[in-house]
Amino acid sequence: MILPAVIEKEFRMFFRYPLRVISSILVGLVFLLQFVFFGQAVLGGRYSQLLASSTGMGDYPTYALIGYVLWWVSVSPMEAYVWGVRRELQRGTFEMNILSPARILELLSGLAVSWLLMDSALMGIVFLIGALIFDIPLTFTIILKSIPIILASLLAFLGFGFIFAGLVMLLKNIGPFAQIFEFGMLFFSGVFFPLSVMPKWLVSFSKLFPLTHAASAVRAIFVGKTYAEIQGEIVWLLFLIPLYWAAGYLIFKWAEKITRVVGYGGY
Amino acid sequence: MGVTNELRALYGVAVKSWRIFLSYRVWFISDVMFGFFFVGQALLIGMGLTGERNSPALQQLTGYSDYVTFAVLGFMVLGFGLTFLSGFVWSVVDELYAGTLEYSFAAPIRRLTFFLGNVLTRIFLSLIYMAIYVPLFVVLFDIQFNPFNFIKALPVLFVGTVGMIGMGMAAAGIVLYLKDPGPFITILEMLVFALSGAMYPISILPKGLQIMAKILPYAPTSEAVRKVVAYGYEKAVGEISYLVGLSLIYAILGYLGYKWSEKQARTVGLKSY
Repeated sequence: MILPAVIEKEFRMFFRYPLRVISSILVGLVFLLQFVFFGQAVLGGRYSQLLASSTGMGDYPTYALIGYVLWWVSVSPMEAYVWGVRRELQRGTFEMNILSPARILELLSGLAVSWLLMDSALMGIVFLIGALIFDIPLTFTIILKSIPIILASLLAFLGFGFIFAGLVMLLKNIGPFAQIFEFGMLFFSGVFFPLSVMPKWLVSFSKLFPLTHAASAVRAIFVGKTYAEIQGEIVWLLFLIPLYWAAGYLIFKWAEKITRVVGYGGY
Repeated sequence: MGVTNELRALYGVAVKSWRIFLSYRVWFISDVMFGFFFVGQALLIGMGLTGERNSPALQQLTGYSDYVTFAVLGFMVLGFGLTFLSGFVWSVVDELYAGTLEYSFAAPIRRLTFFLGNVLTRIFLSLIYMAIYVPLFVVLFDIQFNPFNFIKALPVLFVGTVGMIGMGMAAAGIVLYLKDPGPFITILEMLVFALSGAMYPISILPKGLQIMAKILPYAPTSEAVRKVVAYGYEKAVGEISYLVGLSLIYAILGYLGYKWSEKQARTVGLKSY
């Protein structure tokens, strides 16, 4: 069983340094606090009528917290491929893993799933701390209703990140590109501000990102909407899952073919 | 002769650090984009929440109604200030990871020269970033930026810099002791980021965090710079006096702390990977 073995290895490596776990949670919290406190300082409070009329949710801390936590989790598979593969390349263990009887696809999937699980756990903690700091009311029903949407989102995020698996094998050091892309996702998915402030063509473009629909759907559930009322977002998510998995797989296969010729290369 | 040798060594360290940076040029683009991301977010959050470019609430708290100008000034002070902290600590960590720290420390140069060489490169980069940011922020985000007012506040920034250097030295001393200093540095940088008052006035933070923010040299520097830019030196006497005292304390404690730590490290030995 390759997948659980890779996940176990990644978990052991991450949790071996407790200070690393604390620093990850702190990084998550600080970025959140920066933007929420900024929004509150500009607003002079936490409720925005304008935000309510454009998104249905007027409470800014809740709006930002949901978008931010989902954003962090959404870029997690991408980070796993970009930094996880690079780390193995730097250590010189990537080629050895490729030579093992395990399929490369299994190795990379294990990497992505483990990072996704770790980030989900960390972001769960950040979410709870954020909910406590900003006094966000949470009910069991809201959490229960959000779970299917979040699970569908995780599947979409995994497929989306898969596109980067092939690219990193081919181009090696794509960390800066990934970082630019992650910043871009913050803008295009309306994490900290409503998309209504963007031009119409950008709003249409933002529909291509699973995060846009995931954040919008979970926010809608938090304000008490039913699944029927957010079926548009759910349909988009279900449409994007196979689309990104297929695109990611095709790019990966193409990159693998080229990399087998030019070599995986180390550092 | 000694001074000439140290200056040559300083130049050598700075050039080495610059060449390492240049070997990954895309990081430069990514770093520059971070500034636009930061300020762009500020603008869009403000517009999305209030629909207006000016905030009466922020004016009441800080005297600045244009929230983008407020964020830009904070971002520039923070970016400049982090140069020293990052320069000191990462110069140790990068060499520690590369396994070259013991060689660098065994070289016939003063440790301070080693640190300052790395910091010098970061200051140079920081100035390049500012030269890119200032005109583009003015054009893209319509910042009401008076260069004369900003130049007027530079002496205040330099006073704060003394404290930031002191803090960087103290942090470098701690880093020498840690086997895996990466998370420690991240925690430190995040604390500085959160408590710098770059994006919001520290008065909206809970009381305990406000005290912490006042103890670090970053928020007092941001506050003093903003006040001088907005109201002039006469109205900022209190902030400047506090900053002078704080910077002095950090400079003394940082120097003594680092010296002590280095002496200990010579006894127990530096560690590598």
